Amino acid sequence: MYELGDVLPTDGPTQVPTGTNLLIVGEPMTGKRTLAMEMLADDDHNDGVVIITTETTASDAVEEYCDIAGNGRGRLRVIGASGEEAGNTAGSGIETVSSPSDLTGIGISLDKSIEDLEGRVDGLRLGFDSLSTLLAFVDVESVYKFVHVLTTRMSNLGSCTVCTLNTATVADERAIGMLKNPFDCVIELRESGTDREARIIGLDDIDTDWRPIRR
Amino acid sequence: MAASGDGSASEDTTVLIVEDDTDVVKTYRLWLEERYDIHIATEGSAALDAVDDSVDVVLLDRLMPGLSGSEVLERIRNRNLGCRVAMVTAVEPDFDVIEMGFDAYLTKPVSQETLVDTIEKLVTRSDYTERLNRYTSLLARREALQAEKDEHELADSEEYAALEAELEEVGEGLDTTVIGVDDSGGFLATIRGIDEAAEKSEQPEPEREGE
Repeated sequence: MYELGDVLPTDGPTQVPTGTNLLIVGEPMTGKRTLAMEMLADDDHNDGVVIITTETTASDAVEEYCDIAGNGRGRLRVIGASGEEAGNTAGSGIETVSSPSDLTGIGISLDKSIEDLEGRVDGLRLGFDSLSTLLAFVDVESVYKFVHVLTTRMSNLGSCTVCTLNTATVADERAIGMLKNPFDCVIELRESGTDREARIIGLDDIDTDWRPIRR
Repeated sequence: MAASGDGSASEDTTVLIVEDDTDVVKTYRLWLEERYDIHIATEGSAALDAVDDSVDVVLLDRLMPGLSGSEVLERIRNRNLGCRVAMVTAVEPDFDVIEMGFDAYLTKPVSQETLVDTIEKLVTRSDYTERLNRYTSLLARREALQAEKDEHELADSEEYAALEAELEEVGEGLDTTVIGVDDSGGFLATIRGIDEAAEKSEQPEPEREGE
């Protein structure tokens, strides 16, 4: 089981079984990345964390994660795939990929990062922010296959994976429908007046109503 | 024979052996001919003549007179053939074989067990990829139907019911053939295959060659 902390609007802390793949979807500025990082960071268990970012630079992702997690930098590996990496990142637990369209490069970096953590950590958590960026570069069917293979692999490794999807940049409802398919659980976020709300679909014993979520 | 006959691949798997050493060819043939349909090429250009859509797995010697293994691989990939290519090499390669476009590598001397295991693994990966492709197009079709039709129309649609049934069947197979991506090599080779087949946009313009 993986503890995801008390960031989701459930009664008490949320736990998910080993191998669970979760997708956070919502409009821009609904806090998808922050929520994903909070879910990755709730970790009193010596879990390794790998973050793939196509949205920000790898060093920004490191900083954001460490602000939330407070510790665990030694067990963090970040893959910068925004195509806008600068500077020397050697030895800092950062891998870089030239473009979000380089699916092979993302796969190889992920494999290296996992291998690097092996033996030093108990569990493994993967964050991917965001899948919507890939759709700007690669056709939806290929992105679907990539995500399918990725989530299957991560499940087999017994990890917990949290991906994000920005619904505003994916014009096509069908693409969103397809990309939800490989996931065990979908967490939808929305702004409702001054509140922020979440709805959780696919977790056992958790209802699927919209509930307020803290900012 | 050391290997048992209950593997998932069968006689309808076609293996092309590309190897210039006739003793090695003889050995491989002896080991493999009961299980697979074997084709032989003793140098690179003959390999390119022999390879077509019916070939499932190519065992490619890295160093041959004439075209090298890497050159043969590149030309096979350019022809978009669905075959898997295992590089056979005397020394462990000092580069990433997956990045290079190979699906696996074998270091000489190769045992019968390793050879058969590798072929079986590559056939499993091909099955997995085919199934995933099928599943993806079914899913895309279902999403399209859902966008076009309302709930009642979907309930009455024979096409939709057939799609749902096939999705379930293909999806179950996908779950049980996870061995296609359960090792690092299988994972990366599968992703590379998806990457190569992807339609990409907004790529940097390739440099124009002097036309």
